[in-house]
Amino acid sequence: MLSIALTKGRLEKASVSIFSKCGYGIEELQNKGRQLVFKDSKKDIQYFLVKAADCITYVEHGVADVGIVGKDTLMESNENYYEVMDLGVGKCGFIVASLPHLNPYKKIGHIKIGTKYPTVAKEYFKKKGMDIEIIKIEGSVELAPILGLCDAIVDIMETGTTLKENGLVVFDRICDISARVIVNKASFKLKRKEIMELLEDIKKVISGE
Amino acid sequence: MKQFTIPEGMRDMILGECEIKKKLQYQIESYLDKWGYKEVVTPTIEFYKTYNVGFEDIQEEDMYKFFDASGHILTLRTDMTIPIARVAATKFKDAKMPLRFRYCANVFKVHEALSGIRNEITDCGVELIGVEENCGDLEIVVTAMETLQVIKDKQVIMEIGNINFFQEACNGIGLDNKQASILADYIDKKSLKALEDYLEQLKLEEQYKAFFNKLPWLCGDYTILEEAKKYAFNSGLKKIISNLEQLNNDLNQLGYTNLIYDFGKVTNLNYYTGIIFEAFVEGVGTKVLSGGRYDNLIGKYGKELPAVGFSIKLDELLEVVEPPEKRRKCVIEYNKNYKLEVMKKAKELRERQIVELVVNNDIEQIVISEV
Repeated sequence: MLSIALTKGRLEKASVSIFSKCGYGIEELQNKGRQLVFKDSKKDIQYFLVKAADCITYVEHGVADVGIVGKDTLMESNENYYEVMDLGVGKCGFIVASLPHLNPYKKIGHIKIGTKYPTVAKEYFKKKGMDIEIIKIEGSVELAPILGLCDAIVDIMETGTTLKENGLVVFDRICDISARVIVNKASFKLKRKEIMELLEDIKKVISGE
Repeated sequence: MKQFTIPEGMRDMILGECEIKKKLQYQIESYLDKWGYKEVVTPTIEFYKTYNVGFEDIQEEDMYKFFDASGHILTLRTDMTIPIARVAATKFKDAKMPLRFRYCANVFKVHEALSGIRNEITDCGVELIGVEENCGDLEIVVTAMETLQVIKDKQVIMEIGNINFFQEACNGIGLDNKQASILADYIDKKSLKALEDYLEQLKLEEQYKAFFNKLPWLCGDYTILEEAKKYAFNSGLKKIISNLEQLNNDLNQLGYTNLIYDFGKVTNLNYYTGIIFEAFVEGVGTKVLSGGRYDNLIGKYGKELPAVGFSIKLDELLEVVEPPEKRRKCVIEYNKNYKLEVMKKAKELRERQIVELVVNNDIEQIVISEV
């Protein structure tokens, strides 16, 4: 049997839609009550819904064989899994933004970056050869430069509306983000047939769109 | 009340766990012993420098470090291959080859906090030193597969690859070390999107692009060896495939068929120099055995010697091995006035079972009960 960990929230709908197009028996997932584990009515698969970061943890420990999770969360994690497919859904990007007069690339002196994604921010500025200080912020990151907590932010941008409404501008786009399929390394060897079938089914659906 | 606890990533081993682990260790060691491997015990603490020389791309934050009285940086050993390479190159530099060393030791590595991964684990393994590819590789894989017979009634899979397949391709195309290590990272994680993007960026010829894009998928049973030939664009690559075919045939003839191959296995570029292999067991979410050839490592400590080895992660196997049989046990309750009689009686009973003594002054003399 395959266990698949799905990320709750934004990616949930997209993942469920893909499995539905695959022709899998996911009625339980579509009409979920309070249960946490869902059995596929056609395939030998069970699904469970978890938070993005936990999805990786479950897959790394092999409790889930397969996970669907955003690249943003993967980039913040240690990478002890196979990242085998880009689903091309849940698209957005990592950006560096701030108020127009606070361009961090032009600042001389100590630079503070506010972010929910310290690993991503650290790696990015390291590549740029910039020495910066990171301040971890849990939410409403746009506020930080406005209130003077930091010089700029590293965050996810979907449409850019929130940034614009708060008067922030994008200085650089770090990379694109979308939902990925990750697989536990041991499962990939031990349940190879089932996993390859699943990947083939998903591939057919996403390339058909 | 003051609560005493243990450092992050550590674990107490209690109740029946020790017994299961000891039994497993004993079983594994008896297999290795019969191949002529001699046990070595090296210090738990090594100089940090020793590890730094061995692993060129060492992750210093992964190591427990401290100082000795004169300010040298010390580290808790993170593996056993490096200490054994050091021993082989220094204390056995003029010895007759081959050398066969085995070990069972706790190794230490710092993992991300709260990730549920243990920072101290037991590695049990061997190093076969002074035997070249071909015969050495076959012997070591056979040793590994035979040793894994300690696992009963569970599916065991051995996956074999060769790091040179990737290296040869990179050299053939003329990629530099940095480019190769980025590619290796993406291929090893089967991170297909990133790989594709990076190959675009490198502006390689279509044929080479197709080769690297295919690498993560060049894995599966022996038929993949045939498949790989289609992508092998020079004689070096073809030679590596035919060596693996030879190994596969040899292993098949010896009755080992639970083998898979993976050309996308490209970990530790600076360490391994030939075949690499890992074993997986049904019900365990990580590899339980890993090994490979490292012909350049011992030379870094002063004497060029080819070597190949593997280690088994004992702790990962505890869940899937049979627990030891329950042993006979009796309990002797006694009044304190009879302590001498009880000691004598217990000695006699201990010949054939476990004897637990319990002082109980509510009883008049001695009560023996079987449990």
